[in-house]
Amino acid sequence: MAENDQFSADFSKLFQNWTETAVKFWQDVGNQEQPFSAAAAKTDSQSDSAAGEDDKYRAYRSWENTWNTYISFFQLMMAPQNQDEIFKNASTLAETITQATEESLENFTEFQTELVRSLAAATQHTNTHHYSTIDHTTFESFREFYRTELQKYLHIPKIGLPRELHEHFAEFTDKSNIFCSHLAEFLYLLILPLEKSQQLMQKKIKQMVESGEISTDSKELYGDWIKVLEGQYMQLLKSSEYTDVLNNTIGSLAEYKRIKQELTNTFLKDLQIPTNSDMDEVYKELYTMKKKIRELSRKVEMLEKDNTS
Amino acid sequence: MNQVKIPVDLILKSIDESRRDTSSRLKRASTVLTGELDTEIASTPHSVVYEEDRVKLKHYKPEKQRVKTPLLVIYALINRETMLDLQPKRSVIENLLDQGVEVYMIDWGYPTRKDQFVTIGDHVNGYIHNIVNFISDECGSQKINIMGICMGGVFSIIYSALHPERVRNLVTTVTPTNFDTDKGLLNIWMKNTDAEILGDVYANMPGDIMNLGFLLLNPARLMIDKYVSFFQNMDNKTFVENFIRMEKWIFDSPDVPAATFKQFITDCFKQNLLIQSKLQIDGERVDLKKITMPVINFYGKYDHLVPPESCDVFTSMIGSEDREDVCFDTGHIGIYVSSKCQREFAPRIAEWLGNRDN
Repeated sequence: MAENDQFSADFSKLFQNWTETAVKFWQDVGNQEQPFSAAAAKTDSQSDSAAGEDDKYRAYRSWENTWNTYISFFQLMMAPQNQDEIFKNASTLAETITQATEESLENFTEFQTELVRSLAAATQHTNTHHYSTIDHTTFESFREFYRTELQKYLHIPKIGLPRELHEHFAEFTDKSNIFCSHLAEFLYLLILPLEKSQQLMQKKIKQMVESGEISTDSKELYGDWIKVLEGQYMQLLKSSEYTDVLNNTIGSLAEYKRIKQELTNTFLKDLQIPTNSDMDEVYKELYTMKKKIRELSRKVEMLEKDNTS
Repeated sequence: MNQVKIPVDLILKSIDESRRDTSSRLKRASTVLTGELDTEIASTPHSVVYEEDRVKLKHYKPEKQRVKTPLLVIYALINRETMLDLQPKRSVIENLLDQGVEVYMIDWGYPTRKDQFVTIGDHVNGYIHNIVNFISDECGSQKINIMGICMGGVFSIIYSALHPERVRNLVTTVTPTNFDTDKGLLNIWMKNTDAEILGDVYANMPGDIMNLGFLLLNPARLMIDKYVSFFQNMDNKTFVENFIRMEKWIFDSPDVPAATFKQFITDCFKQNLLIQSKLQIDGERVDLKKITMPVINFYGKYDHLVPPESCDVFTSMIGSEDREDVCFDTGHIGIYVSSKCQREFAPRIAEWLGNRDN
């Protein structure tokens, strides 16, 4: 405790010294016979009015005022009666940051543990001929982690003039992450039959070796493998698990493409280039007009035929 | 413990043989791949006789016309009509011409962003109707024959139901009409996902994304085995040429206009309105009972895109008494390109049309 007090006093003294030096420096600058812009001012017309002088030093005066305010603020902060309050606030801020980091790290560790567990269990959970028991935990865990720990930062309300652009960027990042996680899961499913067919072939070859009937013809073995692989794929592709993952991938792709388009449109609008949406409106009008013309042409033809007959 | 004997010597010998074989194959392949290859597709002579927006009408004239009524081929909006004319001696168009059928074929072109509002109705009552009018004027007949392929088959069914007075005979091939089935991954995926939102997001449904979807129907064969097979045969010039032609076709995928895509997914895949005669096109109900002209319906037993269950109900729901289902032992594309089907498919159509050419 005594050490802390000592450190606090030293630090306070150091800061006070620095503030005093800074104040002295800027006061010296302020007390110069010729301020920064004064030399330039003298070369100008000698008949400048007082109002004119003020105009020339306006920027300097504004800058000087800002620094004075800044210095006063620090002097006030360093006053002995305020130091306790400042250190308390600083410590509250540090505590808050530590707490948030701790929570995120805990969740991240949990996610990592889950990931390792599910990766280890992945092959145990997926029987060779059944895709209904595929372990989706890895991807679900990631999405859960993403939803609870990362997505919220992207959803922080955006403010100010570039709000729309920031929102588009945040949504683009969000949808892109979600799409990537679904795509990764989809690709993982597509790789499973390869892995399973190799396991089956290894078993088969082992049996052949044990029974002394191993084939020396690699084409024959390849033929067997491709049949097994085809069967494995058929099992997978027919399963509702595959359809669900496919549907999620399609859905997230659609969302990703939509926001990507919106983001692109924002830039194109700034550059005064027609966007796809603008062009679509034109195409729609063209389509409607062409359809109408086609109908009218047919009616005219029929009327002409009626008249001639 | 029994010691298992592994024929290491045989395995090593096999690996060595395989290495030598691959090495010499690569040498020969380099000659083939750097040499001149004939990979042109859609080379049967034709002329473009009608154009509207991005849509073109190709006209193929037989040396000797045996079937009086011309045949209009309506291809799907997915991939391109060049599949019917992949290469000489492997071309449905060429075979139909050999049988004396005059062929008109729609080339839907490449829809752009400005086509995103084009609906099924615009395709059927707009482009197809105008084309039928054009062909009628050319041949001097009120009625023409129509052949639809896959999604184009759906368009031709809708057209035949809405304008039965303009269709003499209707041929549908690998055409999905009953979507209430869990056979076929496309049916499962389209029913259980919100794929139609991609139409909104991309303005049109990108052909590449659809292609990716088709590859995922059988990744083992379409993304691995196919290219392993290419690697094993890349010293065979004919194989390489055919392979490249097919690659050219399969990855030549125009986008599908968003409005059409969304309507097709919602009304057909999700609500199965067509087969129930409840589909509304431009405010008019598509009543299958109004299809009173002769109908022949082809489909593939091993079709993974449009399974037989999606095709074989159609003829029982139409008003025509002259109707026939033909199931080939092949897949979605095989019906047009396999050697066996090449011998049977076009001659069967020509004969059937010839018998109903009055």
